[in-house]
Amino acid sequence: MSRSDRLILDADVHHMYASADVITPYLQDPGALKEFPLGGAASSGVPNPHGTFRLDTVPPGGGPPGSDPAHLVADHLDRHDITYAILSPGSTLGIGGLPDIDLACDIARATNEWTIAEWFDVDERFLGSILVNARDPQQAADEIRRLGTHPRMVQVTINYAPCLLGNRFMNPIYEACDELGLPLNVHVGAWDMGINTGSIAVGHATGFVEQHFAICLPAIHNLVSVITEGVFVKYPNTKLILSEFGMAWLPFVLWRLDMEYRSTRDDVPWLTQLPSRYIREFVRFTTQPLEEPEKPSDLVKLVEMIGCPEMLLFSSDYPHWDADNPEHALRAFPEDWRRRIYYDNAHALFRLDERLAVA
Amino acid sequence: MSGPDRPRVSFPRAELPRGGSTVVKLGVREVVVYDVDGELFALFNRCPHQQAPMCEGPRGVTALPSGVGEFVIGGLVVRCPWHGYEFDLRSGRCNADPDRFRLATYEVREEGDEVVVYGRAR
Amino acid sequence: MTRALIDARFVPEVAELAALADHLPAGALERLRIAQKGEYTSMWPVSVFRRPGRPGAPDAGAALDRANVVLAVLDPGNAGTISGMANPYLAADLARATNAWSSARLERDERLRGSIVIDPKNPDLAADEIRRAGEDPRMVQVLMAYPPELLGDRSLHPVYAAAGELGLPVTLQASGAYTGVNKGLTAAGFPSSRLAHEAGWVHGAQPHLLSLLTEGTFARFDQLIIVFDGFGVAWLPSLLWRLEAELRHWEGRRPPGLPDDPGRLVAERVRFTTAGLELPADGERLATLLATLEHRPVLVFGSGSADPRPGADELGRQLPADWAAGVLAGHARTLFDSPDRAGAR
Repeated sequence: MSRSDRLILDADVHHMYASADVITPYLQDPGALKEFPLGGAASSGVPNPHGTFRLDTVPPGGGPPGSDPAHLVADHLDRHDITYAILSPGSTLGIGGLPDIDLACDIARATNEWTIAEWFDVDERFLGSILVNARDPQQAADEIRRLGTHPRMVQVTINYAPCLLGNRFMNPIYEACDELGLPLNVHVGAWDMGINTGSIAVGHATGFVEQHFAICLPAIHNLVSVITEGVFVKYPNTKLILSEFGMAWLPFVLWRLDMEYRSTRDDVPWLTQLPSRYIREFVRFTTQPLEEPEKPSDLVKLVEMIGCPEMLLFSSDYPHWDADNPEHALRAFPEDWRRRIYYDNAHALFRLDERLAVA
Repeated sequence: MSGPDRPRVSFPRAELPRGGSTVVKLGVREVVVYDVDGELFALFNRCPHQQAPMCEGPRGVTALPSGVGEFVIGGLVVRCPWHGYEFDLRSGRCNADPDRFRLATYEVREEGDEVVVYGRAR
Repeated sequence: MTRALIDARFVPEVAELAALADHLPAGALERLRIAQKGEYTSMWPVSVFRRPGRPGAPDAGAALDRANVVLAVLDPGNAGTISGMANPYLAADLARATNAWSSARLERDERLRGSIVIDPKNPDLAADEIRRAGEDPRMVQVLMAYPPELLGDRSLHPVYAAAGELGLPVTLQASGAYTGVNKGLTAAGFPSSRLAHEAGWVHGAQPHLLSLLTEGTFARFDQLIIVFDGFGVAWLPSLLWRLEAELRHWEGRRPPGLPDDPGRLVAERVRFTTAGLELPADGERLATLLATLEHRPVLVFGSGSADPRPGADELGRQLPADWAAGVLAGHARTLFDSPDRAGAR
């Protein structure tokens, strides 16, 4: 496929605040930020010693990587000929870890307003995520309904939940997503931030290799929870996107969960099919960070075992340090998978033809 | 229908108490015969998963498909004593994975004071 | 004993599954029976620190007569079990069945009142149950154990709203830790003996009271009464003094709804049962300690047993007479026998 006819939807790009001041105009209580600096809540206690961003993404005018819309357009969208990029706010990863829940909800609301006001007009290729705070599902549902019909807000994003994702506590959020036909995107990385309880059930990582490995683990518990609690039985008009948790662990989850279900289906009688069927229908994964087996072809075998290349959405995670290069990331996959993973799967998931009158 | 080509095995009705079970051999195959409130069922005695003896497992009701959070009790199942796979007593299908796992069912009836189990016609 | 007694926590028997069978829907009963069946791995919540079994006392009347009880609030004994149950739907079914059982039990003796037990893990279902069971005017409190959040957390607002509609106090009981899916009282490790576990309840209410005060819960629910049952009270001065000291020098934002005099708010809106009371051998010392507060906390006698008399006798001996009268009956009268209870029919 030549570059010019390759469509790419990048499902995970992080736009950043230049500083917390950028959302001050949008906050209901700007003074509150003084008591809870976002940086404090954004620390897991075990950060990357080399920094969190690709070193070549600093905007020429200064500010953190990802904070200058024009630079992001040039450095990423134009450079790689990206068709659409979904912006997922990067500075607010830790809001679930803020103990002041109302402040966190205010920050989420303000961030959404800032995205709409200051990013969407810069480039029509930007799509957005409705950021909400799952610690207050009712406020989250209100925000989802407030912005849910905005044509460029294609998903709802949370960075943490104070319970397993299938817990009834989350129902107001699912109900709103179901009503509006929006997928719920859950992003990695915040489970250890602020007051959040941690990626690891017992103890904590003592270094970054361990920490960065561990951040993918909440996806497993949460995926199992969402399926076994019957979220998609009750809310079939939404889907779950697991962003940046990897996917090479998926075959084992499909197999093991089906095994458990065969033994004890009477404990979850609202499921009328194997759990793996629900996962294939209702769950999607962004590709980055694509796991790297010694033999690249093993990655293809792995996706064959999952049985559903429709589940994958290409993502770069620009401008984070572990971003995948759009040119290289999907090289191991066969041609027809690449087109689906780069674009078609996302196009279908986000109903882009309806939203943007895109063919 | 009986005929010279159908394998069969029989045993005295009195050997199968109400609510009980007994295992017989139909040729080389073990078949478990259940009495459920006087009604008879016969199924292959080895679980298709890992060959556990089905006769050692309980039979009874299960939780039927329901809304989220509800438990509606009903149905008639036999449960494998090892991994708990649940098979519908009438159809032999595994309720959790009917396409993949199934216990063969056999025709069984009372004839006089005997119970007769019929195999497939050759 | 001639003095009239009110027992805020009367436990003639624990509501076991067998007793609740008639009140459970068939599906839930079947699943709960399965839950109880396990040998060493059971879904039925049991406590790691199991108490020795207590004999039931079906003839509770005689025990009440002996102690001259005029009003006794039934504790069904399973609030902890319900709080530790993993499945939210079965926990709700069990709570509902327990409350139906309690209502029926009240028929036996007009001195008896009931507790609406709820599962605090699912506050919306709990609120439904409060409204349902609260139709019986003899149900005089909401009872829960081991909430998954601090009591001031907004997730519990549905419980307070429903209780408020019915004029019911909400009681947090010291039970449910290390039971079923529940863990302990502190993130920093665990007690290694049952003695340490039982004595450790003295820590249990403090984070909850602080949360209620600083989240403005009493302002938002302006009729709410919270009862701490089994946590003692001698820790209250230190908590109030620390809070007042912080407030005197506080430069940051003040939580809305937190008054300048939290001690008065506690005296008005919080009650403490005498179950788990930190009673030194010389009872005067407790009275002296609590008298150092400007507003003395309000205690209500709770035997926690099938036989109220021994506990009441000891308190009668230990506490100064003027205080004992209120603790043993006076304070509870307004708490549980209020004609103002909204919805009382």
